[in-house]
Amino acid sequence: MSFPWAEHYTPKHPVMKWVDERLPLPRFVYNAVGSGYEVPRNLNYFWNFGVLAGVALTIQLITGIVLAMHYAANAGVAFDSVEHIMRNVNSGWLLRYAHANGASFFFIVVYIHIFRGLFYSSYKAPREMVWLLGVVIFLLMMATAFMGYVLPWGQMSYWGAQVITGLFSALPLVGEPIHTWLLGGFAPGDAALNRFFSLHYLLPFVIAGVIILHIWALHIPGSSNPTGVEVKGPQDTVPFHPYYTAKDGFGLAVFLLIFATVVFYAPNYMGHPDNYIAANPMSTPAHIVPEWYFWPFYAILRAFTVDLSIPFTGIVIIPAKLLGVLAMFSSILLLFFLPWIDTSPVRSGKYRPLFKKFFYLLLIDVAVLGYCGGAPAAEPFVMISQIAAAYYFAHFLIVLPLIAIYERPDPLPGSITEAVLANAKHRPADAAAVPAE
Amino acid sequence: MATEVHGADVVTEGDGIRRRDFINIAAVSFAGVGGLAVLFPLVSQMNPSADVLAQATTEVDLSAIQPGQAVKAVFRSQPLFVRQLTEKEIAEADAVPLAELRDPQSLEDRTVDGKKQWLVTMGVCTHLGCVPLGAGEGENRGEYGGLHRRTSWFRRTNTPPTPPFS
Repeated sequence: MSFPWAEHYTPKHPVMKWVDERLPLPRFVYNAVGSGYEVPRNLNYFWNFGVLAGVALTIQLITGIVLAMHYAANAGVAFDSVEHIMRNVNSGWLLRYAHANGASFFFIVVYIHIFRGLFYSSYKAPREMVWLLGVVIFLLMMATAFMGYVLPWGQMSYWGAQVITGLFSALPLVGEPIHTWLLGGFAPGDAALNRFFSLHYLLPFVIAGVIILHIWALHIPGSSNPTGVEVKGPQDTVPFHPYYTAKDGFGLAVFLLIFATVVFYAPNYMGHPDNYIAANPMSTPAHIVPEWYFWPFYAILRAFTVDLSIPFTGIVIIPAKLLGVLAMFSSILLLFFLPWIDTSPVRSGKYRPLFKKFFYLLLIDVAVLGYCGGAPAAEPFVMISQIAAAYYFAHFLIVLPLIAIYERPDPLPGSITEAVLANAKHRPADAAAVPAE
Repeated sequence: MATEVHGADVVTEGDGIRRRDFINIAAVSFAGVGGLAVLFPLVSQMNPSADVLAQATTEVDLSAIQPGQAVKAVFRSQPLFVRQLTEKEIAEADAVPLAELRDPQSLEDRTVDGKKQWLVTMGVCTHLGCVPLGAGEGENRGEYGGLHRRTSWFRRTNTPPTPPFS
């Protein structure tokens, strides 16, 4: 792994030598996120978001473990125990607000991380495995976040659980038994709440494990970079520590400032007021919505309003509900195939004029889907989400392969260093810079 | 090495099946069956427990329900709508051509023989499980909660009647 010119770990203190010979953990850390890991010198701030996602997971783990000490997963008292945390537990309000908003910030950071990967084609060879593991992490995050949202046992918790587990009832034949099996009952209740709590506690550790694989897979070819040109020599890289620990540290400070501002001044901005009403199986809220980070997928789910049937016979092949469920799951599973869908040899969107335009279109498209997913299921939102969902699939299945064929990419720089120095020419102060040989 | 291995030709049977192959298949099969036996309780524990299944019976006192009136009861922790239809409502329901319905089923089929006035439906939308607003008062009215809005919801979709009642 890594490049031959990377620093070697040489413990000086006898204790560190003793440890290194028996369990080389400090060596492992040194080679992973220390001076032993050589990183392209030209990473921009979009490369901060991997580390930020790791920090967001850590915040969730710490606040979550503490919250579990005060929370009771029982349908009779769950709602009250959350209010108990808010009102009685010392600093409980802070822990809960940090955990609830931490989930949102985790998704914000991960969405930026994903779109960074999409723009710079970080999924392309030889980093396909990094991307695949990333999609696995994303799926695990969605499952964890969904189950976590059920725990306060408010109205949105309850009806969210009802609707999302109800998606599985759309499957032919096995749907209803699977639905009952998932819930451990015929409607969300104690059984469902307890198993969601158990899994909500477990999955973050699974995520942490997959993150280790994600980083392991990344460190075999090394990090990608904004030019998409591979590292050619020592002049193209700098050690992770201190260069990127410093840059990530700065990004982290900005992240924590924004996070703290929301936690302290707008802690319920991204929540839904209906979840402060205790779960009531006898009454459905007028407008069920998931948390904002699921809105684009919720819009795709609801975009299918017509059954797929044989024309003029009325024989339904696939009911609209199942179509929506399949489309929603495929919209994410599609990402697993991305490394083989986009066949353009050029990685960075910076040098792909046509790709760049469609990338921004996709960005807008997902934002539109998100908006529609949060809006009531009425016109014009249904029609808009139908068009937007159609583009989402077309982007990956039609547009990307076609661009790869017809696009004429801009000339690539010869190396990372060349790109950096060409950039520096515009700035007189740096004009004297000489590539480190 | 001091020990000589004679095994290879000694264990070979006439038809070419070695003893080791048999042991391999037997061991893996045994472990496979054992694995499935362990998996079964782990999977089945997720299904409804006995106390949840015991909620399968609900008694509703019909004597207090007047013609045209509907009550909301609870069946398996989900709402159950019990209605006594008026003569007019029965006539209207019978007048609806079955072909017009999404899941064709006559009022006759949906009620117990000779007790056509008692319509018992789960108050749960078959789409994704929302509770319709209102117990279907008046003219077969009722709305899908949250996701939909449609009249005559209980006849136009496959909202199931509850198990046999008396």
